[in-house]
Amino acid sequence: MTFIAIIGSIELGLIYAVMALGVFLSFRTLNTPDLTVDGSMVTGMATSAIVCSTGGNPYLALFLSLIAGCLAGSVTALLNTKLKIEPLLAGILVMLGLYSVNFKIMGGKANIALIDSGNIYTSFGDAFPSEYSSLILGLIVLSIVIAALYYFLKTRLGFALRATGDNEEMVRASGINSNAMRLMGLAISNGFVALAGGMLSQYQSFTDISMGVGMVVVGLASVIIGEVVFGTKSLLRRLIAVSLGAVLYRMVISFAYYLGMPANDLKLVSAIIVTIALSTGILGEKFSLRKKGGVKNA
Amino acid sequence: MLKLERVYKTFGLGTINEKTAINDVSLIVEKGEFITIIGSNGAGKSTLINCISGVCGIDEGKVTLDHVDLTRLPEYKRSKYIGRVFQDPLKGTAFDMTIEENLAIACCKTRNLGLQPGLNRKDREMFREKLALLDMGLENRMKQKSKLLSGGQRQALTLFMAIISEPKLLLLDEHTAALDPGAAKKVLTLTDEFSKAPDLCTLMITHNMKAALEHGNRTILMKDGRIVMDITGEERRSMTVEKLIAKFDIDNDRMLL
Repeated sequence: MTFIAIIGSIELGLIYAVMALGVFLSFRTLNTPDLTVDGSMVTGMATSAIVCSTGGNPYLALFLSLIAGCLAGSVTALLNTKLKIEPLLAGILVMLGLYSVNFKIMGGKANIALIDSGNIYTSFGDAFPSEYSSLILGLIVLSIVIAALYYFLKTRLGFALRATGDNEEMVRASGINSNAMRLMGLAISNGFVALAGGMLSQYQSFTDISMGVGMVVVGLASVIIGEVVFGTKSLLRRLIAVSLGAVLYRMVISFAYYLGMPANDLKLVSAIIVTIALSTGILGEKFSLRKKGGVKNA
Repeated sequence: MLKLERVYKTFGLGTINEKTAINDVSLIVEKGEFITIIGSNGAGKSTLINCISGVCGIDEGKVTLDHVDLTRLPEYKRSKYIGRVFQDPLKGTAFDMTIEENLAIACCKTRNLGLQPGLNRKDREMFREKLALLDMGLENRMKQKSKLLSGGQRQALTLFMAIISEPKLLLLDEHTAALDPGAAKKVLTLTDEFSKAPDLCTLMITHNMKAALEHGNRTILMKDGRIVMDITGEERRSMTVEKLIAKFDIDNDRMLL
């Protein structure tokens, strides 16, 4: 694998890390796997692509992507809390609906190529010319997202949000509107996902309506791999671990491509990785005796 | 002062499972009163507590607390005035959060929920000082997650969280039933202590008739959704478990324990 290919997969991984943090918020913090992600990722891409292709400011485009994602997440939360639809099903419904919405955002086209329009990567590269400008920009955005999320989860609202995922009954008994917490959590979660989508569409200068398929699985894989490989000792470490998990996942995928894996096998491989990762808890218990010995020796 | 006026609650109205859980219950609880509630399974004890806390709405009647009409308020809004401890020790705390974070959430009842830091040094000092009163060593474990606590410790912590923001009403739904006798005794002692807070009304459901007569200062017995006995003062002091059984023909073995 060439050096440029490795740098490229890290750049991509930094974008996916933002998405993974969004998935972390719904999957771990709110304890709800949120399938809206498959749709809201493309909503972010579509919003960003349409703003950029019509000559809009690429940073404004990202901001609008974020807002669009928040709206998508809010709809899922409202379906869940107001209409009492199961979280999984609410996510599926919104994901399905978003497919049509995304088409509308993209002006009825299935894909948009950003050939001549400016994007954050080119404008940042112009300002700070370097081979690594895309890498640096990705790192800056990711750092801002991690810092914001970390600070937020340490506020009173953040406490309430985390407790909602842990124990909703206790939250209501503490005078906190747990439905509002779900709304806020899913909105922020999908906001991050759509922000990542917006960045992705500018990074690869291409947006396709079907690019969101399986995104939630990629997000889950990143969360789980990150936690297993890099640890969960403190909240900050966990957020960084999830981000690194996304980068690692991206690198593994590009390495698999390099070894000759057909591109169409990617979804199956992703599904298998997540299945293995999700079952490690159970497998870990079965092999706990052996593990204990391992710890002793270590 | 808690006031229930002609409260009715029926589950599954119009179905074959229709069950009138609360049937024309009126009750006035004065400040400083600590009422123990007994009754066999299905008598409506828990439903009564749930109707007060807002877990379930009522069909008819009115619930007021210090002249605030709670009848149509959602559960989380009522919780501003009410402290609660559930039977299941797992229900009282957020298990994946630390003790001090749990306490900070409990304090949110009287605080604005915003982007302030969730915990500051002043909070931590206050928590440490007050936790020491529980005499369980929790003040030295404030950064540990609550899932590491034993059932008794967790229930004591939940009780403590329920009163930390000085509610007007404390609702205890068999909060010692899942504990071993030693831990149950400890939690009951704490309950006695906390219920002495001025202006607090306390309602405690128990299956243990002996405990019901030993703790608190008023006892009510529920049957088929109604209050069939309400004793206080001298009458209560002279009441014994045997007399209760004879009088109300109680056939539930569990209540005799």
